[in-house]
Amino acid sequence: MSRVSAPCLLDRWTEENNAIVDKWKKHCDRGDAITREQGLTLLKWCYVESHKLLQKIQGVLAVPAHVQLELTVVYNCCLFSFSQTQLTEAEHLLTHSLERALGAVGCDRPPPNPPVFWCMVLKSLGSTPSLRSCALHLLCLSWALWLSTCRLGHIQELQEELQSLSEGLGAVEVAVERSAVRPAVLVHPRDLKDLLLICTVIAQGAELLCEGRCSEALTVLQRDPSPLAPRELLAQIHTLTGLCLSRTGRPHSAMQCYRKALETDVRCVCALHQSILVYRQLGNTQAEIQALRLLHSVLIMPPATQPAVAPPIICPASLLPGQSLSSLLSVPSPLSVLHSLAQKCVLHGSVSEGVEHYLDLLAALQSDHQLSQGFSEAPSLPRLPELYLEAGSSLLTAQRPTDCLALCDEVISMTLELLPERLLLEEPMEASVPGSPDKLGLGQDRLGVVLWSGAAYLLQAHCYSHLKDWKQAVTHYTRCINLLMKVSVKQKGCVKQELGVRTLQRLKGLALAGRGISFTHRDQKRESLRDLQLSLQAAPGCASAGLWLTEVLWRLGRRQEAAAFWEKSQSSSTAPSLEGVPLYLLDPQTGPSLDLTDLQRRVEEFINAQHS
Amino acid sequence: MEARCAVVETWAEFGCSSPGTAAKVIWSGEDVLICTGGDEVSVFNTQELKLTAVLQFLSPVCHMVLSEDKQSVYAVCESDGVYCVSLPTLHPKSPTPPADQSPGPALIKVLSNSLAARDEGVCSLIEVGGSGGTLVTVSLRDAAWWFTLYKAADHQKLTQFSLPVVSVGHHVESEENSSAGLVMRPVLACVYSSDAPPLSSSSSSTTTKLPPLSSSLGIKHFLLEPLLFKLLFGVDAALINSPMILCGLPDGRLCSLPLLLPGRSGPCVRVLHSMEQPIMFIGTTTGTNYGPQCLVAVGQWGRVVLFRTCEGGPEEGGKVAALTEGCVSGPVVCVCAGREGLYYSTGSDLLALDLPGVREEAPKPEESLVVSHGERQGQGQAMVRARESATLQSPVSLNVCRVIALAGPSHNASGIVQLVALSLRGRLQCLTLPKGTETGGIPRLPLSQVGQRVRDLLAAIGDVCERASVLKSTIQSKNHSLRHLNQVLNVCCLLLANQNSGEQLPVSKKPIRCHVVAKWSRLLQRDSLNLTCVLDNSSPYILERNWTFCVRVLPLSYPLPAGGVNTSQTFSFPFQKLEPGGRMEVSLPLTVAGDTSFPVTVSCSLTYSLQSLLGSEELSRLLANGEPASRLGLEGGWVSLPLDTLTVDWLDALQVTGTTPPHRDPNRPPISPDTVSMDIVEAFVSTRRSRGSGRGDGEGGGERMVASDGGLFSASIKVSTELLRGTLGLEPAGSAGPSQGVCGSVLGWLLSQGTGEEDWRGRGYNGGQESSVVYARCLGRHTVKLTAKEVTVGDTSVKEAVEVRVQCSSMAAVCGLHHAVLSRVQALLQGNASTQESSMGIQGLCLRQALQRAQVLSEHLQEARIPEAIGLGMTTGQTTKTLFSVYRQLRENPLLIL
Repeated sequence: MSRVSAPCLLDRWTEENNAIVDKWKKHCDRGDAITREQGLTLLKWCYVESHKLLQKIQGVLAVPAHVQLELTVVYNCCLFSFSQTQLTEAEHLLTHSLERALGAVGCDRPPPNPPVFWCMVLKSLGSTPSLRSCALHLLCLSWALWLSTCRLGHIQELQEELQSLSEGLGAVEVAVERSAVRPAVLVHPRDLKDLLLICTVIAQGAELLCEGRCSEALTVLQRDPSPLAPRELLAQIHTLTGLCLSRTGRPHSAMQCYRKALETDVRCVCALHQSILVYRQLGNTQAEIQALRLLHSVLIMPPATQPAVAPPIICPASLLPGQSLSSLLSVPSPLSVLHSLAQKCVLHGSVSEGVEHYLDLLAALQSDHQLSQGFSEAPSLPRLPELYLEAGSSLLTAQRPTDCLALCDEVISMTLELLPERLLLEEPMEASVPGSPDKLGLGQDRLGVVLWSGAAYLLQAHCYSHLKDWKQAVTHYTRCINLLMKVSVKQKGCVKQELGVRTLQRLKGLALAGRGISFTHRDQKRESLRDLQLSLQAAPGCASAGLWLTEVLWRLGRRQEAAAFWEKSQSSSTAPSLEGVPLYLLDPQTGPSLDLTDLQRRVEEFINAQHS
Repeated sequence: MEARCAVVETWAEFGCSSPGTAAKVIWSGEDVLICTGGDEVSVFNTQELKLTAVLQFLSPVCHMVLSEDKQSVYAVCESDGVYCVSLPTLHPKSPTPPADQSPGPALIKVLSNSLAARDEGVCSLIEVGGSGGTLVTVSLRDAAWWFTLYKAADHQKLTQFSLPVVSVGHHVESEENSSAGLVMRPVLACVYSSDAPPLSSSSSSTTTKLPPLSSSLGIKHFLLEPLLFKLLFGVDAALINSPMILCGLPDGRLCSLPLLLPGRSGPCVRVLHSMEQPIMFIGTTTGTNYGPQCLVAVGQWGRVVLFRTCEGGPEEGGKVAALTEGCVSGPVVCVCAGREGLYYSTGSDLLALDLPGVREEAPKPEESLVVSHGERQGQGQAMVRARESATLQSPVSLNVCRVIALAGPSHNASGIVQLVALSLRGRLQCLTLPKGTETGGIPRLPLSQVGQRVRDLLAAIGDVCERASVLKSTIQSKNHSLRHLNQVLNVCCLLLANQNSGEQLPVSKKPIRCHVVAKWSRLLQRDSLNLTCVLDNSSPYILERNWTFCVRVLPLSYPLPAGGVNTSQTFSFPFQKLEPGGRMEVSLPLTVAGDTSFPVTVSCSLTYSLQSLLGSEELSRLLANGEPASRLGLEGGWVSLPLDTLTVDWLDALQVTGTTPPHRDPNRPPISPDTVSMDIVEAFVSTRRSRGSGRGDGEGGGERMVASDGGLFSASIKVSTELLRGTLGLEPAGSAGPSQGVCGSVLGWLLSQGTGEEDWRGRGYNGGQESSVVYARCLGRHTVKLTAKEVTVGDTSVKEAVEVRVQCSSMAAVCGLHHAVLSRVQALLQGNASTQESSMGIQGLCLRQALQRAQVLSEHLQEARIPEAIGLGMTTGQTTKTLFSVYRQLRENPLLIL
């Protein structure tokens, strides 16, 4: 009976398979006619149907006559499973079907180890051309599965077989042409192979790069890629090459690669981001600012509308799930880019532009739509109060003290209730990563709250002194100082101070200096002298405090001391590094000016007169 | 626990085969959305109280939430993902639909074009900020909880993050719970800082706004006071007014996720606290304008965690966030937040829990668990919890069971609080809470009403007490009845066992026995015969009330004119209380003198009336049941137990007058005219008889009765002396005492059961050895002479015998007495069955004589009948005479009874 019905059944199954494949292909060709949602539904339908067909086929015992059809259906089926991200199911199906096929041609059950398994499969099925081609198709599929599950080791081991795929797949055409009704395949194996090849290169390159084997990665990446490969993948290769080069100390070559990547694919923001890093490394601030502007504008562009067609059966993204690659190609969030841009602008001259960027940033944070601008884990924004304070200080720098006052008010009101009565810090503090608050509440934030609040008072005082309202300035400086005095630091013989404590000291120094200067203007010279001296004690690197101290001493008539201090400060002119100091804790740019040349002239005259 | 009852009104019923946690009710304005776990979501209108629409999804709906603007509902289907259905489309545009007369609910099929997010693993979701806002879904995939954010407007995926599943896996739990229909799903809630109004940015007043809960039902978005918000979620979130998504995971972790993400590194999802049990509810006490608000989380097994602000420790001061833990009895099936507390269902009851943070002062820092600087250490917690649990008030039961989903509450203007609940059976209920529960367990009454309240309560207590005492007495009476019934049954068993055992026990061995004595009494110049029945209770049971002693008197023969009607008489005597060993004596008039319907049968029985025990209603019910009652023989509710059947005959009714003939005792005054007349009649009759008897005198043998003595009729019976000696226990002939011979004994025996025995003995009849005579007055006032004398019978072998002769002027009396004596002797013979062989000869002789006599009598009869047969005119008088003489001779029994 089976002899009579077998060919007929075979034909029917073949037709059924072809019908499914045709339906899907037609949909892909038709393109815009239907929505993406319908495409997904169709895909799901195809997936279910093909599995049903396969179940029917595998319901009967495997006979050599069936094997080719069965393996082709398995190929299609697995591709559909792949599209539904049912990877384990696909793998199981693949192994099971191959075992059946081997059984049908009378071979033993192969060992489960994939490389050995495949060697045996190719050897056993290789004798029959039609079966060999089917086996090669499935090998492609298996490759895809390995790639998408990051089992690069298997790919490495079977490199030879994979290399020989091209010839094998070429031969398939001839062999298959002969049969009358040939079972259709969903994706041509050759296309699949090309895609897999380039994805493998990328995955391997990324892996090596992450392991720090840059030169090896470079050799892998510089294999001649097929020019027909998708643009985005080519751009990724270029970017990765650039990364290799920059890590091996060749920033200019790296820049070339990034440029190439951008030329290949405009949307390769990663290359842009990396080039910014290179510019920063090279110290080319203007170029960096330019690149940041560009990056930001690209990032806030609305994402390309998704094609109405359902996604392809196999998309590169699903083949490249590796963590290493995504971390290499990650791009900071647009907000973070905007922040970098604003900070750079403020620091490097174009304050007004920086202020605009800051305001944009704050507006974006307040809006509900920031989420649509994507998200990433790369370089991040500082804490929001700090951002406010930075914006405030930039506003002050841009001569907008009232706006600065308003911003600082917001910070103060926000933190007012949270301020502790006292705060005892023990150095070294328990390992607390800045930016990650602990389980409940603000345990680690408590110092931060004091610092933010203090800095806000400081900025307000700066604003008042900018407005020449010395009384208010003194009040706010005093508030800041009082606040900071609540924190007591218990030193435990630790030389290197932590950032928080350093900030605290710097804040104290600035506040005392500011109050001293304000006192000077209120003609309270003694208080001024005391504050300035304390300021220098607290934070030695405050330049204006030194100058003002000289001035106050001079005014008090203690010219001797003034001259001595002047000389001392001139000789040790190496200002302590301001690295890591927040924008708002830099020396105020807009403070009460001191006629430096006049002071210098007076002091030097006095010194010369003394010497003479 | 104080319990108060909520008024439950069932609105509708839904088929709810196995509702798990999918069961959900949402109350939005006039609409209630009900999801029972099937693929349909029903929309119920609370104004019209009917179903208005049914949304049919393609697959079972396992979760649903309402959007913040209440314009759309999101439903999570098991196999597809999240659907978004706009609510206004459910209502017809025209306000008054033309087919107002109960148009059936509109069936709306939700097709896949309403699919908002295709994600099969979605467990839970929440929408924040209306159509311009964000949709947050939580799904379980690859051993991690994935939080995915979508744009609410076009459902475009924005971003997603994950939180690894901890070891107490969802899978394990779900496998355990799936059988019980409980698949735990994460709980999502959205919390705003209360100074940052979520939708209306214009009203940024500093005063805390009244939470919109009362107006916006069914929305799980809560407001938190700014300070606590900052303390819990950080300054950053407060600065940008970010809503916080709180997620309670089934593993007990309470996570927070700022919806507006400042582009910060590090984990966005932060674990605030771990409840160590599946979280069922997250919310805030929405409270009134006063008092601090706090964040509340409720775990499945009843743990309640409150987050509040309190003063920091002495070393730092300031404000810190504190955590208070308490416990209520679980399991918590569903929770909804009221104004000042929570309502939760344990499946068996609905409870209202007042939260302490609302009205009371914040706890002192040392009392609560201050969480800062990572100080949370395991050891201290148990103690803190124990102390803290006391601060949680005990919940108030509302006495509604089987609630699996809750929505509401709504507060209307008059202060009535309503909840909508879905019961386990799929019943949609409206619960109207009693007033006072909303303000906590203790109703706050004005002082003026306290007195009234106390009085009410006391009255209620009195009522209850009364009812209890009534019940108690009922129980007592039932017990009493049961005890009685037991007695009755025992007595029944006792008597029935006697009956059923076949052979009658000797009278003396019966546990309850009775005997009767006939006694003459003289009252108002009339002699009457009274029957005295004596009942001996030698059983171990008390015969109490409800038992009746019945005596039925039935004449053995009665005058024909009565027409065959049973002239029996029944006398019944209720017992008062007859203790074991006691006896009861009753007497009943048997007959007035002159009534001669003797002998009579006296049947004694005990009857029991169930009616008096059970009451008529219960009895009729019992009888209506039929079968058991009829088996008991309870026709009419009476149990009747026969005791004894006795016979009272002529002998019993004799009045012994003495051993000498009374013969017109001159001492005795002439008695009543009645008796006098009787005597005249008697004299007349006796003369007639004497004449009659005198005619046939010569025919009789020596043993025949003599009518010589004033025309008396007589009958005799001969009993072997030997037999009498044996049965009566007399001494043998040799050792004869002087006192009484056999004859005396025989007479004594015969009269022993009669009346006047004592008199007779007392008088000491002077009967010799050979014969003794007793005179007595019988019924009808005839004088009877009873003679007993020793005779010898037989020729060959002389046999001693006692001849008992009855002589009286009344034929009826002779017959009756003869019958009585015979029956006594018969009874005697039955008692002594053994017959002596030696007497065979005498018996044979006697039989021969009897035969001869019978032949003679037969001839007489023939003679008497011949003239009639020939047709000769023989007078009826002659015939009667002849027949009478034959009868008389038949009476003269020549047989010797051996």
